[in-house]
Amino acid sequence: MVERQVTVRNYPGIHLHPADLFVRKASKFKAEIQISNGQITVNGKSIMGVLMLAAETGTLLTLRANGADEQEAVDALFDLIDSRFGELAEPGRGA
Amino acid sequence: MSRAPEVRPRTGRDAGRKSLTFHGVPVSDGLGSGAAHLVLPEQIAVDERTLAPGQAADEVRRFRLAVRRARDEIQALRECLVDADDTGMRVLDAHLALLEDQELLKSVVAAIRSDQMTATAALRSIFQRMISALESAGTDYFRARSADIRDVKRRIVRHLDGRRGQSSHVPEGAVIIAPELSPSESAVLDPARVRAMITGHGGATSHAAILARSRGIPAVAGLIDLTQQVSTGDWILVDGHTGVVIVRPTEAERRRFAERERHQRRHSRLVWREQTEPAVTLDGHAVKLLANIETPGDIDHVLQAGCDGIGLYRTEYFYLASLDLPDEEGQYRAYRQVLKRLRPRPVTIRTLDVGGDKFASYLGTSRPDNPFLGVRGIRFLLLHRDVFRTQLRAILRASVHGSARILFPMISSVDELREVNVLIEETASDLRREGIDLEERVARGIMIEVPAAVTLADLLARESDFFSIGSNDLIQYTLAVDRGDEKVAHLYDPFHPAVLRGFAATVEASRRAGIPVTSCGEMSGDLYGAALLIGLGCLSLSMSAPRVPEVKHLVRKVRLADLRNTAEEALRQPTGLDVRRVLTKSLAELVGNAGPEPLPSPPRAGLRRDGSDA
Repeated sequence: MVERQVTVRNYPGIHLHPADLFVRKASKFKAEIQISNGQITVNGKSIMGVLMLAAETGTLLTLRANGADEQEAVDALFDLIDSRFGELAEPGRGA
Repeated sequence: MSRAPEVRPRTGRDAGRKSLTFHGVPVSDGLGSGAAHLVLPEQIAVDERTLAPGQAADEVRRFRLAVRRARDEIQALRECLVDADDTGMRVLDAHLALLEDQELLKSVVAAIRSDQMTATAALRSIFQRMISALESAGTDYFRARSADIRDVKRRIVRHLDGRRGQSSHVPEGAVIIAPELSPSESAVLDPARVRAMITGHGGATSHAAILARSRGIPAVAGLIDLTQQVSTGDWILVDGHTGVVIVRPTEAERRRFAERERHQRRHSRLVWREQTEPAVTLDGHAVKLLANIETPGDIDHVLQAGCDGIGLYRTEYFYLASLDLPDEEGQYRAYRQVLKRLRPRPVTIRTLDVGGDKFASYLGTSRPDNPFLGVRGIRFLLLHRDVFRTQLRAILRASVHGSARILFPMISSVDELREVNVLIEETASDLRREGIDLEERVARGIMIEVPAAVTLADLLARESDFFSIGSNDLIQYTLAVDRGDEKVAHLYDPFHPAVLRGFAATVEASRRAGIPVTSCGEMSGDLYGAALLIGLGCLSLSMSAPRVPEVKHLVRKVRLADLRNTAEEALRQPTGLDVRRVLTKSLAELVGNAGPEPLPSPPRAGLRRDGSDA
């Protein structure tokens, strides 16, 4: 299992659209992905789960992945949050 | 934000169903009349039964079918929008993503199976968890997203009941009346079917208001109890300019309104012929008439109306109408599009002016105690530098495609202006280092909308390239009046002598410093306001595009020398009422009945406590 912490940097945080981007990215990996805000831990491949974190700007999150591509998964998701989502958002549906 | 309706019963034809007049907040200009179509929040009847053994499988099937239908419905709505703006599209896309979330669907199914809940009860319990999580957030924008979650839930429940979407039922020629419109309901408002729109909650910055303006649907907000006074089918008259709504009008009221509508059409045809004529006074002074816009979609109106450019491009739209803060690329594309189409005319892009009432708009709940005195405008941008830098980069990059100017909101000190100027320079050199082509220097100006900026206008003028008078906020801050508060709204007086002196001082400071000044509040589009501002020496006015032809018509009928005299006389008056008398008398003399339509009577605020209708 790989674990890494990341702080939410985009304003105002991981609301609907960033949650959608996160889940899309997470779903590309085989590893199980969990994300925690210190109080609750949710499935990183579910938009419902990610929304439940109510992760506003400045929230410290813990990413955990377990599976074949766990290291790549955690790094990619770390980058997504750390780069404030927007800069990685691709045009097209949902972006 | 919300304002209780003033109900003043009138004598109608039949005693039981009186004509009623309401005063709401005008949010989208124009006259519209038609039959009321009520859009009420659906009462979701939650079926609390415990399922009998063996029923769960059926209930799960029913739920899955409802989700599938909800998805199909959103897909169908998306297809209607393909050529429309992408605002509605983004709302629908996000809803689709939720309907496709496997974990969400599995949780509902699990609740049905293991807790023997009905589908409606299971949905309520699962969705409520998400809603509560979002509503616990500290940011208004974040909390506002719970409206989307509710919207998705309602859509599924409708299909569980075998009902179709409400939006598809709007009859042709309807006046929509709703306590509030959900994001997806607003997204699919069809200007061909809807004559006007009245909402209870949400001001000028709600989803619904923004879409109404960009689609040319007259709209009034802030009439909270209206749905209780109206039945579907009642005839309704809506004046999106003054905010007056008449329910079940008398014959006489209907005739008068129809006459005004005819007048408006005739007048606009007449005024329209002047669209290619220059806005020059009889004594040869050119007045710049610019447009205020919110989206690239507004450009067609701007070009049709014969505007000299864009005096105020509000960028809040991005942040309020989409579900996301846009990235640099998205903003760059929008700015570039506007600049290219307007070239060589100037386009003044105002950086984000959020805070105040803006993020709280469509939920209308839990805003800071004193949002107008809190973090908004430049204060917000200086606190969220990444948001600010992203926007500056996008504007600077787009600047090579036309004639761009940058405008900063809510400046109240020279320090803020200096901080902003440093930030622009830094951003510009970053971009140059990256090898990106830039204009040598993009003009930067400030909004004069805080009394402190008026007082310091001479000092601010030394360090900025232009001024833009934001009359709406300047009036509000000068008079310490929140327009949305019905107990003091009558004190909001654009013609208050203190306000006039503020305008005069700002124009004078810009003249001495040799920098241009534009006025971009609602006053610029009001004929009396425009006459006054021009008379004070502000020869550049920015307004919503549909107002331009009429103001141009006025400009071409008067002499600047006469307006100067009028403004001087107005400045000598001790009260707002006296100012109005001077303006009314003077314009009647200058324009008289020669115009195709008598000038509208002065706005009612401050004239009478009860405010008679227009």
